Amino acid sequence: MAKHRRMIIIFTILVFISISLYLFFWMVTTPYQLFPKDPQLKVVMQKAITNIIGRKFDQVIGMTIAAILIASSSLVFQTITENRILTPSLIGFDAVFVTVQTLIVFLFTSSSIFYTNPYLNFVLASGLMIMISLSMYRIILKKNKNHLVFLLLVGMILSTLSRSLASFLQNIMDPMEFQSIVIRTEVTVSNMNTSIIYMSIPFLLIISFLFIKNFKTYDVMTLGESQAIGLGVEYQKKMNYALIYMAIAMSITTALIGPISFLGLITVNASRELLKTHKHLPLFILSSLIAMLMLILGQTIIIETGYMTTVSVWISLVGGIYMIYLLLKENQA
Amino acid sequence: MIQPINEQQVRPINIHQMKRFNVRRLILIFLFVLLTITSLLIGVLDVNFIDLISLDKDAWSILWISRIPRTVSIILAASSLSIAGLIMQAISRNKFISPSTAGTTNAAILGVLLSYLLFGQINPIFRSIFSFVFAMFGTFIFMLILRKIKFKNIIYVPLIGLMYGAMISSISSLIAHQFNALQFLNTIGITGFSNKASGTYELLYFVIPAMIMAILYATRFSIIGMGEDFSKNLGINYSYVMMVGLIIISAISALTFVMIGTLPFVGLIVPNLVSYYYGDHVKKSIIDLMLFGSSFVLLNDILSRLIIYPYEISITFTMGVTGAIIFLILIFRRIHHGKA
Repeated sequence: MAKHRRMIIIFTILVFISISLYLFFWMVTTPYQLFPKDPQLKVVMQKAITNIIGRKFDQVIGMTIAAILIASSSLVFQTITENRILTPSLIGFDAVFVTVQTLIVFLFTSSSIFYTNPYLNFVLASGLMIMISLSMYRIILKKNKNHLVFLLLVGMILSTLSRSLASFLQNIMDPMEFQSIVIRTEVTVSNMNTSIIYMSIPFLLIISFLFIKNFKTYDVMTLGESQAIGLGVEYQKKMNYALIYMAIAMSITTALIGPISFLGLITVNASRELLKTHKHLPLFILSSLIAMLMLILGQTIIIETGYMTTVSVWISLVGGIYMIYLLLKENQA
Repeated sequence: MIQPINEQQVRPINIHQMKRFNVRRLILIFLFVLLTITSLLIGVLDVNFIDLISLDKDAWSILWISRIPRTVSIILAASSLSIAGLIMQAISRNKFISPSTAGTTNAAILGVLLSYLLFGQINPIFRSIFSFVFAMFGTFIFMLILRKIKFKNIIYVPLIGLMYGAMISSISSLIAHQFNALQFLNTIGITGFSNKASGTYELLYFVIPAMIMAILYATRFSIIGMGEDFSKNLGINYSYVMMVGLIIISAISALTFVMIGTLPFVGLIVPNLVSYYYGDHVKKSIIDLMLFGSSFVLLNDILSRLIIYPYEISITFTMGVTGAIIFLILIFRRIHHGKA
């Protein structure tokens, strides 16, 4: 326990350092004089500085939300699939997100309130995504117990299907409408959808609360399905709920910063390795911290090196290599 | 390691069944011919039978310059990709694997990108060679990883393959970003059949030797799928046959990729459907496989040419939709029968 606490404290400090780097490091490297003598210029500069820091602060909040949601949903997903390699982003939420946005524009045009109002758009898109995933779960999981792998496979296929449908609709629609879709759907960490950051905070709180409330149950579920049932866990019900939370979490992160498929894999496995435990609470805290560290520090480095590449590309590269290492290591015995 | 032998192989084939098999094949051939003719006759410029029979010069030149290249490239690409999928599934003994779910396509993209960066707009032969080498290397590494590990459930394999492919793609986009080639990277793989005319498709004929090799080695591929020890027992050089299989798969994937682009699901669905109806005997079903694959892609191509006629939509989209629906039906059927 003491060891867990030490790890968590170390990573909290690291996260704070990286946040302050992200917020203030640009002041060191900027070519402009930030505190000029001229009083008129001084006012302008002060305005600019508060403006920049305010925007960066928004981005930090957005990355924090995404990091916590990705880490928690990946952790629980790995528990219910009994597999350390999978992450819920394999179900293909990014494709569904693009399709939903395309459908909204296609049906109501880009000047409609469903598209221009960020709140309404977010609610509509998330609602549709949650509905799609729920009906998917219902069809597959209800008919046959514990066909989670099929769920993954179906998700994989559905993502191709929805991507093709979206491309088809985008092909036949007006070029101006198409442009507006590209702006909305090509969100990355650098190009965050800032308008929905603050409205996703209540969702974050509710979802994390539900996850944390169930962590004791998930600890039992780690033992495997039959053991968990033997110990009195309503396995099927708990699993369905977990999948619903995951659908909400994934739709928020996709709308916020776009798909980062390997982040959950890296963070959860790294924290497992560091803590050597199966308890969900410390794992959740540490993997959220690691995810924040990776996103914020990575983004700082990328900004300072002049946007050489994007964070998600680096994360998938590192994550892919880490995945292969894990696969080989786990199966050596 | 050794799976129970497929029921269809054990059951003695009676005459009744033989007949049904032949009828099936006849229907398939009929369908194939019908679709080929339809594909030849569809287009913005009107070409019909009467013109052709009366030896109208314009009609014949349209046929030669545009229609035949398109149809031939569809048939070649479709049948070779189905074969590549079949071999891959036989070697890895996993029904859910195909060049697009094992990193092969992503590695081929990386090869095309590197050839572009090193040599600029070179001719497609070099490009194919580059992507062939990379595809082979990428597939080889994936197969190596697969051999090292044992999965509780075989469906995890394509998922791992997808993530592996995502990793290779991230390398491509990293490199492309450094050299300002992101736009080029996005254009790789969306060629399609629409620009195929005489002079631009001939390189695709190189898949024919690969297909012949595949037919010759068909039985050996199903044997090495049963494991290294088993194939040694039967006197087959495991690593040699494995290498041949990988070369065939990579050559087909790279060539079709450079010339046509991505055809989603062909390598995955067609072998699955064919083995559903004809059993797992690779050698016996390979002709039906080629016919079936070609008919499937021909049908999709005709659809994508007709939906917004006189324009056409990319076949990648049509294949994505129809293929996904068929695959979903297949999966649900499996779930229904309780065969995981």
